[in-house]
Amino acid sequence: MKRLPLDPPNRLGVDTFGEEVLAFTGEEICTRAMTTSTTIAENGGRTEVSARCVVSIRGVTKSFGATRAVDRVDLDLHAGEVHALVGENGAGKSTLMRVLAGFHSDYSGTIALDGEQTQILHPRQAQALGIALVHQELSLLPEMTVAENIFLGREPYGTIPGVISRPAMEERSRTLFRELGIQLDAAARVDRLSIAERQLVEIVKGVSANPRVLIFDEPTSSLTYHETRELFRVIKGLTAKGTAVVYISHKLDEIFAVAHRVTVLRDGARVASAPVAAWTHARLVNAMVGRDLSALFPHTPSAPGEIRLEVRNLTRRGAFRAISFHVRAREVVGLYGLIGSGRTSLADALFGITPADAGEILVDGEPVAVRSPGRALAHGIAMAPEDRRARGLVPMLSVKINMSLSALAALTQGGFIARSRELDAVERLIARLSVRAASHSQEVMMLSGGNQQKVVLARALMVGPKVLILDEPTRGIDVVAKAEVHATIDDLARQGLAVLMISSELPEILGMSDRVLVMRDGAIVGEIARGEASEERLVAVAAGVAESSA
Amino acid sequence: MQKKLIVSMTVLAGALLAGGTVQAQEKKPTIGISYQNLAFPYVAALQKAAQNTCSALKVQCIEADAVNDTDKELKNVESMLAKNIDCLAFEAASLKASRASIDAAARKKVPVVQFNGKAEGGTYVTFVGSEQPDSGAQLAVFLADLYKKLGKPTLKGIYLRGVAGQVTDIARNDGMKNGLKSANLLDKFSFTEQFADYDRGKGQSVTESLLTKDKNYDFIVANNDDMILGAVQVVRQFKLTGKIHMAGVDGLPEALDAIKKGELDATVFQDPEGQGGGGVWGCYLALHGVKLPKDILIPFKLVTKDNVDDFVAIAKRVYVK
Amino acid sequence: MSSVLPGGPARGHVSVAAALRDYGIYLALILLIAYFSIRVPEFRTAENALLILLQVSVIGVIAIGMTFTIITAGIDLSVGSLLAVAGVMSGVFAQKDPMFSNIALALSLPILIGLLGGAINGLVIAWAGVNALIVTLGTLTAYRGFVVWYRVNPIYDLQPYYSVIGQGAVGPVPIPVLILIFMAVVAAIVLNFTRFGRYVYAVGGNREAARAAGINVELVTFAVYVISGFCVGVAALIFTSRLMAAQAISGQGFELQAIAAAVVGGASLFGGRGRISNTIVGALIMGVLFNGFVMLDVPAPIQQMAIGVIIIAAVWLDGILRKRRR
Repeated sequence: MKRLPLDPPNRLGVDTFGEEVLAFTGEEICTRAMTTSTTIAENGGRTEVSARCVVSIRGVTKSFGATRAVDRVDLDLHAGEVHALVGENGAGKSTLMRVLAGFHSDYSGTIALDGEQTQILHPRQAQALGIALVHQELSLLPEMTVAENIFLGREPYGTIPGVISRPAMEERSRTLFRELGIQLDAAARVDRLSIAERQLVEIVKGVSANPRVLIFDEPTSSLTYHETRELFRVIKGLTAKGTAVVYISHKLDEIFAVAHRVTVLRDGARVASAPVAAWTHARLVNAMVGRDLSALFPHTPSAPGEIRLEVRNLTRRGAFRAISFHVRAREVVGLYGLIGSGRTSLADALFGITPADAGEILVDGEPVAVRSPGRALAHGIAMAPEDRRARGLVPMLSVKINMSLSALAALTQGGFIARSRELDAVERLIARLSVRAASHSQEVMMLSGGNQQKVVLARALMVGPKVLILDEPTRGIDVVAKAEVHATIDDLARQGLAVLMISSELPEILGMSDRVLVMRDGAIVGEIARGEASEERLVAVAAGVAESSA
Repeated sequence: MQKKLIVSMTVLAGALLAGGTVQAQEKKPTIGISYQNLAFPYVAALQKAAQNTCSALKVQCIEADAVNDTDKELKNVESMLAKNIDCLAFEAASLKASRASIDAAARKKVPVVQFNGKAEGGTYVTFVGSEQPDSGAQLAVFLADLYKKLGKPTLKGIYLRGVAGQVTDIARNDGMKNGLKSANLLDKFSFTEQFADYDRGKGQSVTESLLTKDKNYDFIVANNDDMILGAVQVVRQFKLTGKIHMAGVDGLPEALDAIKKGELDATVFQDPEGQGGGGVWGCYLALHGVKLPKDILIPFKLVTKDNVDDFVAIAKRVYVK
Repeated sequence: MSSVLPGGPARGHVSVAAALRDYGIYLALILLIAYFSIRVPEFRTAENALLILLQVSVIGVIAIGMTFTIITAGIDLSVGSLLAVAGVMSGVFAQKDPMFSNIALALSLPILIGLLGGAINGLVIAWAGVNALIVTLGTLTAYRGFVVWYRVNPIYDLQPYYSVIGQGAVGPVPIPVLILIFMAVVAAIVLNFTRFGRYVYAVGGNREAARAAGINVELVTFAVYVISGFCVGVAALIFTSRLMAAQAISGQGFELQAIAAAVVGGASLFGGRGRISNTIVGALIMGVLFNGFVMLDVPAPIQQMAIGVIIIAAVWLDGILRKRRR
């Protein structure tokens, strides 16, 4: 089960493609920048970068028990520069940044801010030093307004001493929105906002402290294409003001779009660090994984078979209306749309989580009534839901129990579970999906995101479905797991399954689908064949812009 | 030991009627009665006695249950005061915290007669009830008799206490120990004391554990009947009935029956008729201008096989349902 | 942390921690028994061992049902009041002439009332969607109110046959102990080896995920409260028969003892975790403490403090062992 040992990480980063630029140690760069304080044009002249070294991390190590999550890492962050941190899940990116943001006081090594050595012991101290971490949207208080969340813990007082002034808070929030070019209602309660809007609130909260260093950890995992572009614009504005930005992401396209410099971590150690111009997709993946990766988007076009899933005029008030489409055997149909377009509601209706009000669902030509997930499964429709932590997994239970949960009816005799048959089925799927777990009895929560996703997928497969619905099948999982999940999807389609795949990731939709359905405002507004699909076209249709303008 | 006046209600009422001081009133007086917690059988018996007295005296009575909560008690009393009661018969739910209710009545110039449980402080007309140390003293009488009867140099026993720190429990303990001390017998007794929260199941469990360790006990006494009735089950199961002598406090019908059956030696009878009826009587007399003593004490009585029949009649009147 | 698998030593570390987490409570029980055995010679007799089992039988049976509700991230606070209702109703018929119909009612009524009381809880919690804590807090008051209204004075003079359940024995083993063991074994089999058992864990571990896995979440939720009510009915029968009297005030505070047994046994109030065997051990720890303390003649206030500290320590230790694995 244990993975083969990887190449030993090279402190100088000269391992995989050994370019001269990678041979700089962080120290050299920082020292040079500090002493000369010149403005140099790196990045192929794309951006003028002021190279004042804001943060200089040297030999930082952080262990959890016997595991070294961060292992003697050097890192420099420069004013006005976007520094991307990439690596597989567990490579230590987030832990390193949490050290910088004061969440782990028990690290070793040194951190210097503007040349001054500092021991960062707790988050408040890090904030006072001008280091801000943009959290996932989960850290907002849903009952409070946008402005109250932004100024939580440092509320401005009004004219009456000691009394918080709501108008002052909202006014200052609006000023921030203007500066950043964001459309948000400062007085709106956070629980009324979309996930993307909440993410923006988190960002504004980070920016509002006027930090020297702003850290983004997977900021776009719940953002659409357009919202991501918006975020990049905001980031450019910040760098123009001289903020040093750290950008953690799995999405390599984004790295190339926004970063000036890229540092790759693997198994807690720094593998390489270089200006973005020195990298290509393949080199990044190679550095992250330590070996070449076969195709990220395997696709085996094959002759589609008979219609397995057909949907006629499906409607649910307030979510979607008059949806008609079909998916054939051996076909992967992509479903694309902005958040709020109704695509997840549609998937929930097809699987009976929130049943439709009207319309028909047919499986293999037979009309089926899908009033609950249990009924959907009985009719051969399985789903791997969107948010695996909230809706996919029972965290404290084992891999085995999570996998077999939907298939127990078939594995039960007289109310009792046939344990050996269950175990056979589980082991087969563990092998087939290359789930990396210590054993089938390991708690599913202890697995990496990619392996958790495979468990969710395995559960859907164990019932032997005819139709498989995948909602964001690779969100937030690392590149190796992503490739494996994609290979599995391709394999399943080849074996005759009808697959409906929802994704916000355009490369995934384009790479994996035979056809793409596009939703907007609760209706299907376009169907694009594989050969004709492009990112621009999908985005244009999804946003309701005339196709010619794309 | 105590110099307080002990008066029986019937004597007092008789004197009153003979003196002809009762003025005919145009309107029937209304008496508000506040109980501590009607889930307790003894309090339910007080209620029955009070109701019987209300109909005998032809007065209107409105009742409220504090359910052992002084907050609820105060609200009950306030709403009864709002209904313009003429007198409050009050069974305090708490020694200290019930004063608020008494003060509320005093502010409305409504006389208060306390019965059974007395709160500390506040202005009240009279208290009709029993001195709790007396019940302990009666247990001491039982133990002293037992000492004489058994003729052993020392007696060893189990003492099932109620709730640790609770007023009645402390009073009964003090009353018993002082009673034995004044009879110069305290050093002749050794007690294994355990709290069983006045609870029958707990009385049973504690007795089981103690008898499993050592069966050589001469007696078991308890601060209420529920605990001793739990212990009776154990003694019967361990086949020690008759070897271990047992006594409780309250005089529940069940305890009286057990005495008749010979499973229980004695109980100390607390008179719900005297107390519950006395609360209403006290109000009635006060409203008719009779000057009452500060304390009208209803004595505890030791019930044994010899006199048990006298008490069965009273119990039948008030312990119904 | 790493996506790379834990190697040899790391795995050993995990399994020791896992064993401690799952079986640390057995160690605690053994230590307590050892302590009292050394201090009190009479403690270490077969007779006393059976007595302790007898004394935990009522709370143990209730705690079995409580474990089901706690695993689903619920709770049943109404058990003590429901026990009083079931006990009094049973007593009413146990007092009457031992005709077949009276005997049948005396023995079956507590079970039926338990099922009914549990079904009322379950209906409101599962389908009306009201929080279990609130619902059972409500029925705790309502069931108690009902039984006090129905019959405030104790029912005694029960017919002799009725004592068999609570006071009888098969050989040296008291019947309540046999009932407890039987129910624990059945419950453990249901939780570990049946589909329903799996669903109970899944519903408690993640309600939404359980729903998305095709489980009828409402039905499972309803069922655990019915099971809890059933256990209360059985416990009421044992309890009433043991005392040979039924009282409206019986069972006060039993909910806390049953919850303590389950939680000391490692059941998580957040759901998804709990084992019947550990709950029984949790109940035994409380029973051993009670019995041992009484034999040692430890005053009640000190007993209460010690029991409180032990409950907190057990849950705290559980939390530490859990965290260690992260």
